[in-house]
Amino acid sequence: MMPRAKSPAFSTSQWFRWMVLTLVCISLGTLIIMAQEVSQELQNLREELHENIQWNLTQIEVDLLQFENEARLAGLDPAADLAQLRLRYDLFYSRARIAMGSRCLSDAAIDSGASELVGMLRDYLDKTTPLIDAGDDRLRPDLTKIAADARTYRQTLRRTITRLIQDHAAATVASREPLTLLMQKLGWTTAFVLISLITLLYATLLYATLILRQQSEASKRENERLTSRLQATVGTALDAVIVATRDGRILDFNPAAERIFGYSRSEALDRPPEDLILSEQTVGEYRRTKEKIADGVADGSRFTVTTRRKSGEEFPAEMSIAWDVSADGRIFISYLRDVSDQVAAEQGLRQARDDAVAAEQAKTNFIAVVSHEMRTPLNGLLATLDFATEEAANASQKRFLDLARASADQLLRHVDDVLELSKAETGQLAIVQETFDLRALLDSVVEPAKAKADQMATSLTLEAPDKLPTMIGDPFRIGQILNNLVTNALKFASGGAVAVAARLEPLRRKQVRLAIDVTDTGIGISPEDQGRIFDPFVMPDASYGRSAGGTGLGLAISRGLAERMGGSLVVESTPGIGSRFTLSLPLATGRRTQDGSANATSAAPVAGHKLDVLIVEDNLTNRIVLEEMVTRLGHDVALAENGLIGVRMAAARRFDVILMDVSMPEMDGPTATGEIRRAGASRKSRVIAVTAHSMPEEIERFRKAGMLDILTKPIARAALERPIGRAATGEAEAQAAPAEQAARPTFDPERIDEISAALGLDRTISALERFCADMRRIGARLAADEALTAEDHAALFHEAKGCAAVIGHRPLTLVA
Amino acid sequence: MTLMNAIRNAALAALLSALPLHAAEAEALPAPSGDVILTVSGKIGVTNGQEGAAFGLADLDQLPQTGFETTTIWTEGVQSFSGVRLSDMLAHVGAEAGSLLMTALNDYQVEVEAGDPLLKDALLATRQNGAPMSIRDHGPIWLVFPYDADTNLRSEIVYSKSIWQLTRIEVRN
Repeated sequence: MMPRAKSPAFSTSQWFRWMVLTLVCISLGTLIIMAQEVSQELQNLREELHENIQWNLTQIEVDLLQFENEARLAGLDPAADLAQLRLRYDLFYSRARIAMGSRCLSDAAIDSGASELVGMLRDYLDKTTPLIDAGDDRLRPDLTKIAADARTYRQTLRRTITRLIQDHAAATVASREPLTLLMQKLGWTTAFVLISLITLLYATLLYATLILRQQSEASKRENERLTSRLQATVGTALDAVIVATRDGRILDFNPAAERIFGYSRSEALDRPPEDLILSEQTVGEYRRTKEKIADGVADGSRFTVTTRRKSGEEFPAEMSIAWDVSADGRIFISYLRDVSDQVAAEQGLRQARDDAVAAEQAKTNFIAVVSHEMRTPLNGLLATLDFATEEAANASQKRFLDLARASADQLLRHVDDVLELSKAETGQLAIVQETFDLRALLDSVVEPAKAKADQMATSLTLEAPDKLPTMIGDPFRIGQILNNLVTNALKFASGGAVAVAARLEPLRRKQVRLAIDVTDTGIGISPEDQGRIFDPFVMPDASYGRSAGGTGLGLAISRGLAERMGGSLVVESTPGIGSRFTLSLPLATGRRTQDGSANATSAAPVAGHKLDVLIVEDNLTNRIVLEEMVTRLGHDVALAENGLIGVRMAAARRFDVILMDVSMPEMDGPTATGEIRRAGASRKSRVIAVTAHSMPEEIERFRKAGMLDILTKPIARAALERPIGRAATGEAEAQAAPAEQAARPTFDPERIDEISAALGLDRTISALERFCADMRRIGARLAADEALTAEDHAALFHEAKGCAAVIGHRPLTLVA
Repeated sequence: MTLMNAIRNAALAALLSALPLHAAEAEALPAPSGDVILTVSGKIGVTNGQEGAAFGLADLDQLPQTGFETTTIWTEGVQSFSGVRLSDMLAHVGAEAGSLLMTALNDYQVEVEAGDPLLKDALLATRQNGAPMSIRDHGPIWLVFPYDADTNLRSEIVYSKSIWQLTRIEVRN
């Protein structure tokens, strides 16, 4: 783009300015030069270089006349003194010399006359001087002739001098001419410059006045435009705008204010805003804010006030205050917005949120209650089925009972899933931190699944680094997630391949990120389903439900667990190709120091000690199941139908172990335990809580009441065996010690509980049996085969450890 | 003692030699020697005759001599003048400040104020270019000024006061 020419106004003014400046400079320069010339001329005049020529010339004539007279007188008297004559001659002589040497006579203007005069004078002096200088005797005879000559000569001289003086006068006038001209020039120039400057000054003033007037007009118009725009803005504003003085007098009240507050502008003017529109409780805040803003300690930020309409109705309004200075002094401009709708909407939202939270809580409570209510009868059902199976008359009955048992197991699994999810949702999933062997953990998940994979002609591989450090985390929860992932993968990759791959990347010192990929060649998950499969009760494919038969809670629980452990569970999948689930967890490496070896020396269950066991349980089925289980463990059993009876019986007789239900009529478990602990024969007995409540805070409550162990329904026989067995080894003496220390059985009770919850009682027991068989096999090999190498030993130990980790056998898990 | 006497005599001599300048009125000057060429009369402190104080060329030569070189409008080229400064002469005759009426041989007269600053360097010249001046050469006494030294001296007023063939000075009130 070409640069645009300057605006004409600017150019004109610039041109004008330069012209004026140049003119003034030229004028002043001219004046200065002329003044210098005049000054020089005047100096020349003052510095007179020659004498008054007229005087000198006439004096020549006078001196000659006096000499002539003296000569004539002396000529008449022969005895006359001639000194006077000679003096007169000398005076004339000197005068003539002056005239002859005078500069003015060399002036060109009178050159001819002057040289004539000089010539005449020289002739005369040359002729006369010898006569005068001769002796008196020689001079006397000549005196008459000298006088006559002088007379003649004087008359000629007079004519010459007269003419010379006239010439000189003319020359003088001529010599003054340049100065006169110069003075005239100076006069005219000065006059011209003065007139020019005055005109210029006048023009400039005129111009400046014009510009100023134009600017003032423009600024006035701009002001008017701004004012009218401001008035239009304020007038059409949706917010009330109220302008008031500092002492509280309304100066302006816009239409929105009229509409919002119900006062007309004329009604509002000159009244204090505090009285007019603010509710009493707001006045103080308004005044404080106003003063703070005026003092500059607060800005005009918004605050909420309660305001009042003319009708007296009060409503919330948002207010901001600004101040300015006007002719009325400091003024405050308040902007007010009716926010009653907004406040109402906020309240509605808050209400809706509270309702939603309450509904969610109700749902969680409902689920907890329902699962509790379902687990109790299930407990009875499963136990009864166990007993029935053992005493089945024939194979056909046994098969039916096995089917019933499988269905009951599945139902229990579903209930457990729902309960687990509700725990996860309320953040109640317990996560432990303990040392574990990752290799063993991976084996414990993959190895048992191999049988199923073989059935379905699916390859199942495990890939993990050779050197794996010992890590600290919750191996059961990790195993639970992996189990879920592997089970799912196998379901969808029938005839294909499932690969489990673990890798570690160091995060920082003693901290690694464990990532485990479970990859399958299954049907895959569509992109839109990939985000949903982690939501509860979501089964992307209808066939999933049929083939998998799950509740769709597995992934939701798994992700919840992963996140509880500070990690993540994500999926990548291409439909038709397969899926990859990646579990990523930050884990500490090393060994938990508080894992003392004392646990390793915990007594193993000791058989053959007959104990007195009191069962306090209101539910008949449960009572029967517990009685049967304890009896089968080889102990003596007494029964109480509620807490009150239980307390009475325990007071009367010392029991080794008391199995105490928690919720009972007449007196609940914790209260009864408190009573038993207070006094009576069994005050030092081992009290074990038997409950379906497995919320952590409740467990804490039970422990405080004096229940040292907790069994969660449904109760597996093995789980029951442990706390009772502990009592048999005399550990009951340690009951006064902290619960944590007491609760260090060989098998991790929570692990066993959770295995049983996850796998079902049947499979838990079979897993335990398999564990025992494995141990026996490993033990036999170690004892029998003397040809075993160190590597073989290590491999066997490794195997044993893997098995132990799954089951939660602490001593073996802790073997390095 | 001899030294003290010598110092006392010297001091006395100095005092005596200074005395004539401050001498009482009408104390006699030595009589003029040779032809009188200048007579100072009127209100003066010392005289040597009825006319006042009369001086021959030799008397003037006895007074402090001074001089300068300058051009004049009446002569060609630079001239060297010497003689007695007018102010020295006035002091010599004990003249009070006042006006001076100066008269030439041809009765030309000018009157000047003795205190006029223009007269500061005015010289009663008795010699031009080292030689005494005859009447034909505007002598024997010519009151000249150092015209070249000061522009103020190059004016008609000063020219008119440059009286030549000066013969008499009358000191007036």
